[in-house]
Amino acid sequence: MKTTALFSIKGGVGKTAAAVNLAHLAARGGARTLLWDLDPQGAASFYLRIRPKLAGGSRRLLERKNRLGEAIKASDFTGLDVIPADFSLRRLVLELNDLDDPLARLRRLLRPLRDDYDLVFVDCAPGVSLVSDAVMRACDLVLVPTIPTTLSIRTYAQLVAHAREKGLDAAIVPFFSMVDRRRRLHRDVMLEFAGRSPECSRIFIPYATEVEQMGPRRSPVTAFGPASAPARAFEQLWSQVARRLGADG
Amino acid sequence: MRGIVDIGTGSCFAAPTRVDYAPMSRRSDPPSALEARAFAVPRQLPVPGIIAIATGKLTPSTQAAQPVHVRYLDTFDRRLRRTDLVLEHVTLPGATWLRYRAFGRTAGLMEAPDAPLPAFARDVSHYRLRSQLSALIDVRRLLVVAETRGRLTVSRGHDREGKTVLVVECFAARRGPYRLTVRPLRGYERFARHAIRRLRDVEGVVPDRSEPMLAASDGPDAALGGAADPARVDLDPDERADAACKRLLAALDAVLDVNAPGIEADLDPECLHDFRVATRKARSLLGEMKRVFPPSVTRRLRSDLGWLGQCTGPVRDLDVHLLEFGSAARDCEEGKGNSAAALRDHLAASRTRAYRALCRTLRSARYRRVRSAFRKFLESEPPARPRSENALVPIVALSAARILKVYRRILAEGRAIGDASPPEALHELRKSCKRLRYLLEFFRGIHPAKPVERTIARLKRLQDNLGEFQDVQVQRAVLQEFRESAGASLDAAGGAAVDDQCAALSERERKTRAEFAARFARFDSKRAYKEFAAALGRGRR
Repeated sequence: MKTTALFSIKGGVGKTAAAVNLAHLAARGGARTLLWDLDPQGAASFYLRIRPKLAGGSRRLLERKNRLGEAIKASDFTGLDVIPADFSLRRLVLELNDLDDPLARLRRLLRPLRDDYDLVFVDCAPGVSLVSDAVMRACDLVLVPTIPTTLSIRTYAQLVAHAREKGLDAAIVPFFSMVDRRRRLHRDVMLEFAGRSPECSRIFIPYATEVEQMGPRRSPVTAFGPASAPARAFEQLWSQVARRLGADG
Repeated sequence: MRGIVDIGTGSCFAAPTRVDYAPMSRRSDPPSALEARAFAVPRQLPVPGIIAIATGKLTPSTQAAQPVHVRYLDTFDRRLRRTDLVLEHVTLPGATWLRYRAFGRTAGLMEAPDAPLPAFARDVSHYRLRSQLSALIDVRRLLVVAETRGRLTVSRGHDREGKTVLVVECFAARRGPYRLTVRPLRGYERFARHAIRRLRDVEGVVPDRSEPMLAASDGPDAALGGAADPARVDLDPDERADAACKRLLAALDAVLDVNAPGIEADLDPECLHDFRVATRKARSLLGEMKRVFPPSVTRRLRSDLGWLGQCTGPVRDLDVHLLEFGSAARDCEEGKGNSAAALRDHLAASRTRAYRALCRTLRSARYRRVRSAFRKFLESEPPARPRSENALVPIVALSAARILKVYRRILAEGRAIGDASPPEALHELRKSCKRLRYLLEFFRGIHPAKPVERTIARLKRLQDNLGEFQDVQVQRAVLQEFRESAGASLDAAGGAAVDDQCAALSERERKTRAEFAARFARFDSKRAYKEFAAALGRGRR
């Protein structure tokens, strides 16, 4: 079982859209896929029409062994299951802090599921915290959606520095998201960043209304608009991620 | 900017590719805490009413009944059926899927949506299903062995979020009761549990545990093939040798029967392969079991079977070359000129010619004569007082003696092979190994299991080396023959590519040959032979 987190310090960069679409594509290709919605806003759960509610909240999730398995819900897509969000996840930092070895806790929670799933995608809340550190410890790959703006690039640099300082050794791969190629700033930032960051994915997700349509349609864009530009970009990105996880496996 | 802009223009994204996520397991879908349940519903009950009972207070969305076509797929030798598995392909207007499940179970082990009807395992885009099928059926063709048509009504129960929490399907065949299936979804099992409870209370609705495939009618390929497994002949250790051998030969004859139509329909290269293996095994058995049948009969049957082997050889060789060189060519197409395509065309053209000749043979009077003579021999009762001296010997004793004799021959032949020995010596040893392997497989049921299995495993390692040596030699000869016959039709890069391939094969041949001594040394153990001989002796007593 391989775990991939969609994470960024900055909010509103397309983490959830990427997590939902990549998970959908992985499941469509035949992988037994689990999407863990760790963001208390519950957007990934919303997109997949799953009520963002965990019986007993985040505390019970951490306390009981195999609790994660009990929280799993099937999505409407074959092969894709979801651990829904809960508003109580906002307290997860405090609850993790009360436990021994908090950084290893999420990895331990996922361990009983390793025979049931091939891939886990974790949709994280924005910001650096103990939770994000624990996610990075539990993951094989951290995908960082990055809008091609100066501030986004700056937060990516902060994330990399933080991971290095904390000794979090998951592979961190940024990719550009919400790209408007008509904007000169976007083009310039991408050119400059790609030039100095070989780890940056060459695939980018264009800014498109189809992605916004995920809200009213409550479905991945790769399901309702598979021929659209963002859906095809997500396919390319998934192809790259799959190859990367495969090579590491 | 080039690298990024190239990828980013929406219109020039590559077509969706099949992503093979390598470490993905072959395991089944994660199980729901509750298995899907099927019910038989009398035809006089109204379908909408029954579905409404199942979905209860949930908001239902019911599709009108749609024509459905379910095809049950299996190989010509029924590999799935023999392992209690069912692969069904479902076609509805605008939707198709594959469901892979255990025989007699309603819940799928795996489901692959958007799946066109596959001809081979490699056509399945769902990675795990493809891996599982490939492991089970290898390169064999999937045939439609059964099919059923009817109308399917699918109803989904939704919760307040609009999320599907229960699926109820009602299949109406042309005759018989409806089959209503309640499919639970993980995390929402309670809705299915309620539905099952409500359905149980409806008069006339009963749980249906039957296997739908058994009620289906024959598919277009049902007449082709069937399950014939010569390994399943149960021999009695004290059975007289001629009767036991006849039973084994009859099982092999059944394999010929099963595969012949598949060869004529050019259905699957494996039909021809299995046909040839059965021919070889039958010929080998007749040759090894000395003085069990009258010499004139043995000689005639062996000659007939040898003729069958010769007739089928060229097509099989070309099938293997097409498979070998086809995949090798795909891997190294770039910069290799026109050699890969030319070689494929050359092999395909040769195969077409050889296949036509084979079909003529299969329709010939001689073929019919050979097969009917073999059948007549198999159907004849063993004589009460046979003239052949080994006919009445218990098969356990005769087979043990023969196995040990061939074993000793292998040891002697192998020990005589040195670094300077010609390839023919290895070829002879390979044939002896094959004889021993066949004997062990024929008679594994009447000798102590563990020593036999251990010997087969040790022998297999030696056979792998000898087989690879032979394959590489044959492939090199094919390439050289192609290089000469292709002549000017090959461009410079193509010619160089063929030379490179020949050189690579020569290197592989050298390595395999160098490895032989070590492989044989591992097989050549006096202690292992003695233990094996003692075990066979004990079995005889």
